Amino acid sequence: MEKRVFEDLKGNLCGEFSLMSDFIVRELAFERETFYILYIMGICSKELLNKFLLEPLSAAYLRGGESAEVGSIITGGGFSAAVGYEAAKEAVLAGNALLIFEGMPAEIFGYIVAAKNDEGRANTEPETENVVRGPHDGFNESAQQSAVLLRRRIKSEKLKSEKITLGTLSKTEVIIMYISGLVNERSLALLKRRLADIQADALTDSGSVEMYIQEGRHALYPTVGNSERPDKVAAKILEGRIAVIVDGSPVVLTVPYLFCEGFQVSEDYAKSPFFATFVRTLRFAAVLCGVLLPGLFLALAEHHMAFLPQEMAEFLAETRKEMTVSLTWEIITAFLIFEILREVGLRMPKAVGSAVGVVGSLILGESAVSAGIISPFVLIIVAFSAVCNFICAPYMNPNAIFRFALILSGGLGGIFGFFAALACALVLGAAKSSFGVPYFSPFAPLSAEGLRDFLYMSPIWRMRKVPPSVSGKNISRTQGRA
Amino acid sequence: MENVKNKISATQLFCLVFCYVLAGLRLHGAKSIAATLFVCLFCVCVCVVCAAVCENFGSFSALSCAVMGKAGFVFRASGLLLLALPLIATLYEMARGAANFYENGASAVFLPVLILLLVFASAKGFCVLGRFGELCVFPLAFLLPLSLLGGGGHGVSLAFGQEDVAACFAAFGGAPVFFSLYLRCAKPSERSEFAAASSFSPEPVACGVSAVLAAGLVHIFLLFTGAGSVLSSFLFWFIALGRLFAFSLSVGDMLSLPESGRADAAKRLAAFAAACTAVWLLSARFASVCGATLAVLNVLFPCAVFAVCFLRQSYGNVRV
Repeated sequence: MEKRVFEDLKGNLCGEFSLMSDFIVRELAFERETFYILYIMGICSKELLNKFLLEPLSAAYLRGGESAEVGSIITGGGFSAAVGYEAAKEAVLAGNALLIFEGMPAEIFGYIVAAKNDEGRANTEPETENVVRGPHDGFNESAQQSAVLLRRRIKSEKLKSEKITLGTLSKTEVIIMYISGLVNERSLALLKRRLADIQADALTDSGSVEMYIQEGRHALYPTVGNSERPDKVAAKILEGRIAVIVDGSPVVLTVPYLFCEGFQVSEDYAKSPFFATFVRTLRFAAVLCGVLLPGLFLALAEHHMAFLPQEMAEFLAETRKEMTVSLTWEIITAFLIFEILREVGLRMPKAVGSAVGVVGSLILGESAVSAGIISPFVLIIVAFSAVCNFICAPYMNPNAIFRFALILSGGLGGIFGFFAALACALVLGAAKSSFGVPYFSPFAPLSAEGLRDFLYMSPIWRMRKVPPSVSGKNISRTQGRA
Repeated sequence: MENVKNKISATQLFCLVFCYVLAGLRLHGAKSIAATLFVCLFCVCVCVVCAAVCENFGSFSALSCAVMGKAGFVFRASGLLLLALPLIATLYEMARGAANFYENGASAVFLPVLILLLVFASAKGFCVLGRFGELCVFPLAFLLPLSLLGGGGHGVSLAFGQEDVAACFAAFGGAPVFFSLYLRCAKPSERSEFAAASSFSPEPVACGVSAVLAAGLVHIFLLFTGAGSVLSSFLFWFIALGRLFAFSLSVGDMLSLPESGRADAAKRLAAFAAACTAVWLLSARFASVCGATLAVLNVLFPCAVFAVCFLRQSYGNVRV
């Protein structure tokens, strides 16, 4: 490379990173050549830099090595040439070291040495997805390390990983992983298109990416799954789903995401099928209670008291004698208080939060009953519904909103209003899809193979086929009895 | 892809036929076992005829062109007229059933809600109607055990009087519904990749026949156990909604709604709504005559279609 061109390149690169106190230019001057190493302190590992670049380079030149053989002097797995100015700049920003010297070929803008500092949090078990029996590792904030955890579980050349960068300022690394031949190509193409369509300055968390790629502008129920557990994500990839790993976030996204997945827990596959079926049915029944019970109770008690059993109607009338508000407002108030207490419990510092939550709910509950704002019967319904809602973590928040809608429709329109609201919701759910896969699959449209892993859980050795509702393919798993 | 969205699968056909027959029997008060069996038998025959005739057609407009050539419009219009009264009757019975649970309930309040629900669901496409049909069957899991607590059925009989005959034909509704369901049932080449990958792909004719028989059995069971509580009615409304969606699919098919643009679809729907209103007013004035005429036409309709298609196959180019 000409001296003038080289000086321009060096000047431009240093100018780009001016006023950056963590930007370092390390000069190694030898007899024949002067090397410049550009890197950003902190995101480039000093140890790796020393080990892969500085020490070998110094040792080689002290022995009298040729500058043309730089590629063989540098140790370490990651070494490539930056064929454009932007590539050279991006490499420095990504945490790599850029080696430049006058003896480079004219078309090369520098040599990229992979020395990224990948130190981060240990792969500890996620707090929000505990299991009694199962692996206790979890993803962390490094996309590369998260990908490694998946690679360790699926040792196949068919497990593909594609890297893209999102965010013009944040340049967040996103890795897409899937199994070639198993994945639904349409879903994959749709995902890639949606990721490419993201126009944002910064995407620092997978939650933001999820908002961009989910189905529909204002989706209440999630169409993108997420998990911090590598075993869970690996199992989903093995069913034809795609994992999206976002650097900086321990939460990995999976698509397509179906309604039935909210009821599946990785621990179910290690239990007896009878117990697993029982627990899944319990989860489903609990979610139904949590969502439907308040609205249904309100519809019946407010508009159709004559159709309730006589003893229950008399008891209800007795408990409501001194109530100062209508039943609709009573239930809405009770739920609002509960949601506020839940939010307080989540946001307050751990040392104080749980105590405030418990004391607040006890005092508030007791006082509300004494003041005639909430009746004990309603309090039981509200508390039971609220607790039932927690059994299915992915739907905790959407169910809370949907429940309010049903309460309002039941309170205003009675049993028919409740029915109309529920029917509308079911129509919307039937129309919904997640990356081309119907959301209510495998029960609408019905899929016999998919139903083996919904409420009724087949023994794992009987699940001989990959669920066709996700992959769109008729593929046999190689496990199972002959 | 668009074809797939406006098609239903064989399983969805089963669910829609099941809901259609069961809801018809319950809404129109078929209390006689003999009447139930008669309706089921007739529906089975219609299903077999539809499966045979509709095998090579993908929509009612294609069938009408095959049957009447350039006068296919007349065929479609007559099909729509046959549907109008049963559709209104079903809407009315549902609204009346809902009004019974309210102190000052008037069916006129519930009718617009049902119509809005119908339009809302239909606008999403036939595929969605089919999927909802599959969901409609699930309330049975709660309805059947709940009915056992119902305290027993009242007025179950083996009679087959004039009232039972009227209930039979009211329950059957319109023959064009069966035609549309079979026409819009995806042929093997039209199935979505997910349906094609599934190992469970029943024959449409078997689905229709088994759905009718299953509906008959469930209705007889409910007659004996009695399911008149408010919760049972609430669960049954979903099944009744399946019947309405079957009507809606048929209307959409006959008006060629999936193939037309929004503005055109709106005009056709408005014309159909006007026709329905006219038919309703007419039937209110000449109830017994309209009822009898409709019953006869509904019996003749599938026979006429089958006969024309058979004759054309023998002497023309239409396969049956």
